[in-house]
Amino acid sequence: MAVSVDRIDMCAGLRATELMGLYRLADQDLARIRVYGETVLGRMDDYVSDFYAWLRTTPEFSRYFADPDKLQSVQQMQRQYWVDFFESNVNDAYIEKRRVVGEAHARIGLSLQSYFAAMNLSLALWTETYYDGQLSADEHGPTMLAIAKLMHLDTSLVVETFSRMVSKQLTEQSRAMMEMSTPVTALWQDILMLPVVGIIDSRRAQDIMAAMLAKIAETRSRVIILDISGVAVVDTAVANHLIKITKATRLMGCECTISGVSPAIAQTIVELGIDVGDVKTTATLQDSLVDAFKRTGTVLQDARGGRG
Amino acid sequence: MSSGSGGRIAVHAFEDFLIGSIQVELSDAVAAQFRDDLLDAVHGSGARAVIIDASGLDVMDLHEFEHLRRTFRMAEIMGTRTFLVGLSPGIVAALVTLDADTDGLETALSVEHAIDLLHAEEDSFSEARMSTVAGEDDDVG
Repeated sequence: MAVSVDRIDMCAGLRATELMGLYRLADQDLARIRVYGETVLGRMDDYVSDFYAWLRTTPEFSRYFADPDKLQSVQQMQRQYWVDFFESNVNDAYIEKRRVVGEAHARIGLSLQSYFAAMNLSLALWTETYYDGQLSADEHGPTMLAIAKLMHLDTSLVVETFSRMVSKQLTEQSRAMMEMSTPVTALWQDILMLPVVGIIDSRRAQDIMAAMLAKIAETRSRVIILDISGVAVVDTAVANHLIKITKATRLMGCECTISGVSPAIAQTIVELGIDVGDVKTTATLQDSLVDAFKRTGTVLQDARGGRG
Repeated sequence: MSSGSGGRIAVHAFEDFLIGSIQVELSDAVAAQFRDDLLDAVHGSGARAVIIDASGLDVMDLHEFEHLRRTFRMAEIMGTRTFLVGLSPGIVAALVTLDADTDGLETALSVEHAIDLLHAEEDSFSEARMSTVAGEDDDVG
């Protein structure tokens, strides 16, 4: 489902005519490719066997093509790819097909390095190995150039789709990480805690705030401890996010203390001239917990009779 | 919810507190009526604290919030303390995003929580006095 959404998104990109303009592909070029295709397409079986002879030598072969059925279907797709290429009917449907190829590569995680190597080999096979020398000297140069142009267009579409899919995966992953990274836990009766690890940006600050407020409403807790000992950097922006969070919890009637203020963080806050206002901060989680016990009227007693 | 035509926020006295619960949208008319009612009640009762429960509200905009705060300040000038309790996560997130001025506003999770806080303060305040009156084990609350 995610893929189809992505595809719609990409259709909004460049269309066939615009791409042909971008790669300076004239109808004349396409005609030359067609003529050339008639002479070399007969060597398709040679191409497939030569190509896979090479592919077998790459480390990625056994990883992706170990299954014979899969290999069969990939080869079939590849034959169709080159038939389409030499038919040179560059329209929106053609562009769309190339984008699907990009998606397929991205989904199996094939590296761009291998993809380029494969295209490079294909170019050499089609234009050198299988060339039977029947083009006139005047036609040979422009024909080779036309093939190179179309191949660049193809390659760019695949790479573009590939990188889009990869960056989309990255965004999804980082979002999943964000969601996992706001674990508000009940530490004690009336006391919640949220350890923050990593980087606080405005997006994450919002997630943290939402998670905290929801948990406060759910548990009716009176104190929440926000432990920032795992926060990488505290600058003005982060400090403002933290102040906002404490302000919000206080509006709900729940006191927020910030624990885990390291010497480095304390120095930064003062050097940057950040006014933390009346936000209660402590050096360690333990200090905040003791403070929380005081606020909630919890008294710990040592089993041996002393006071905890 | 009607748009403030007949809505009114009742204020009740309990111990030495005044407790009101907002169940209707805070239109200007409702807010003005509430201000008058509350200040009259404070004047007549000499209450120690006013506790306003907003847990019945789903939304509150900045205008309504500021109206409420002005009423609170008036009550404070008359010598009472004010608590706004039971704000929902949604309202809180909105107020913080809108940069509402919340300095000095006293809040609690619920009416009960506010009363607990006030009692706790009272206890620590009169602890010294209480300790001199030994023997009596009265549970306040």
